[in-house]
Parts: sequence; C-alpha cells; structure tokens
Amino acid sequence: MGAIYKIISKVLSCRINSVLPTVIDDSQLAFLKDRGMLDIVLVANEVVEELRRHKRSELCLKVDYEKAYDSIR
Amino acid sequence: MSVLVNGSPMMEFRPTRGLRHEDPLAPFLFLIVAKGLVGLVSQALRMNLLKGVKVGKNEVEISMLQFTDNTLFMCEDSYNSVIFVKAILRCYEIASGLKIHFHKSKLASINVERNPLEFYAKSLNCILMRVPFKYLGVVVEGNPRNKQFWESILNNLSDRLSAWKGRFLSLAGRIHLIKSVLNTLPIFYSSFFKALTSVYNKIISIQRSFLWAWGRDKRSIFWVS
Repeated sequence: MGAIYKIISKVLSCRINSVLPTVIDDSQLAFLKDRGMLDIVLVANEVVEELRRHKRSELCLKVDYEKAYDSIR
Repeated sequence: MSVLVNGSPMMEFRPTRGLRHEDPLAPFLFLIVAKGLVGLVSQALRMNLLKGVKVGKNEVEISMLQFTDNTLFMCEDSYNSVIFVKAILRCYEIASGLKIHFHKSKLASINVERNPLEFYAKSLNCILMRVPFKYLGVVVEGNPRNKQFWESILNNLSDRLSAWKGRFLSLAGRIHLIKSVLNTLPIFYSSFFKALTSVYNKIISIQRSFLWAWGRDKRSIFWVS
C-alpha cells in the first residue's frame, strides 16, 4: 500500500511538474525549475532601490500566514 | 470527476483529500492554491482597482512577489489600494482556508509620510516596519558596506553556537556542524552582497573558536590554523 501510494504520487508530481511552469504566474518563484529564492530577493531589492532613487511613494506589505501548509482546505 | 482512458470516460469518483507526510505532490498543490491569490490580484489590476509598482524602462508592473507562503505586496500609496489589498486577502482567506495573521503582517513604506502610514497600518491591523527590512532572511535595501548590516548575520551565527554549547560533540561532529551550518549561512548572504573583510575574518574566527574551544570565550590553542 505504501509503495503504491508513493509511486502514484511521484508519477503525478512528475507529470504536474512539466505543466506547472506554464500555469503558475511569474510572481511565484518556489519549487519550480529555473526559479530560485535568490531571484525574488533580487527583484525586491531592485524595486525598493529604484523607488527610493526616484523618490516615489509606495507601500510594501509582508503577509504572515498561520500554518501555511497544513491549513489548506 | 472522472478520468478519460483512451478517449472514453471511466467511472465517476469523488475527489477527497489526504496527503501523507513528505508527499512530493504537496508543494505543487500549495502552488496551485497560491495561484488563487495571483488570480485575484491580477483581476484587480485589470479592473484598475489596485495599482502595482511600475519599474524600469519597460514599466514592468510588479504588484506582488511570492515565495511559497512568503508574500510581499507592493502597491501605490493610496487608501484605496490598502483597502483593496485587505479585501483581496480576506477573500483569499475565506476561499482557501489559509489563515492570515494581520496583526503579524508588516507594512513598510518608501517615501510615505508618517501620518497616512499609521492610518494605513491601523486599517490593515498590522505592524509598521522600517525600510531596511528582512524578506526571506535577506535584508532588503540595506547597505552591505555598513558594518551594522552584517551584525544580524554574525548574531545569527553566535545564536546557533549558544544552542550547541555544552553539548559533548566530538571533533568530527563539530567539523560537520561547521560545514553544514556555520558555513552555509554566510554563503547564502554572500551570494548577494560582497562581505567586508572584517566580517569575513569574524566569521572565520567564530568557526575556529567553535572548533577548538567549543565556542567558549576561554583562550585555547588552535592546533591547525
């Protein structure tokens, strides 16, 4: 039972993996091929720097989720 | 729901849930749920209810950044935007079952005056944070040539050490800890910023003193330099 479950979920995740990069928007940078954590920090850094340089007023909101992975319905 | 096998639908089945621990599907399912938030935001952008930040020559509009659940909204400085972000988050909260801690969420501002900012924070129920803020563990818009910038990393390292102090670790165990933890933390940071030489030396000295003196302040002999 455990082995079958593992095989099926692995197969499903491999198949999803080939489709997901086209489905998921560019603003999400986790878990997918060719997208890394460093990219997103770089983008955040550059945006804030540019805004500062041009003296434009902008707001950033950092959202905090409770138990992100466990609570999806 | 049913599956097409060779073009003809099979028996219907009801989808239920139940993922076990370490399921390789879990992250992808999370991404699909997180996509819901992206959908809400892009719909709001299309309807001109929310305005993101336009950057660069090509005026690329950035409204949010996501790394799994680490979400960073960027919007223009207006009360309407703030209310809309709140509405979007609230809708998403109800639809997905994710709980959002508004009182732990943080609002940062660039070139916004104090008074409206406090008002925004009040209407969002969130905390204000100063602009060199941390996102995904990296300080955004800090100055890497400043010593203070590196202080948090050094503190981070020595905090790790204090938890290990007093444990009876062998030499090999300590080497392993240094390799896997004390080395990787600075590497993560230096993939972004050029470290100061003094900081670099400090990191090495922390590592050495942990290896040879168990992180105690007492002087001891460093057998290999």
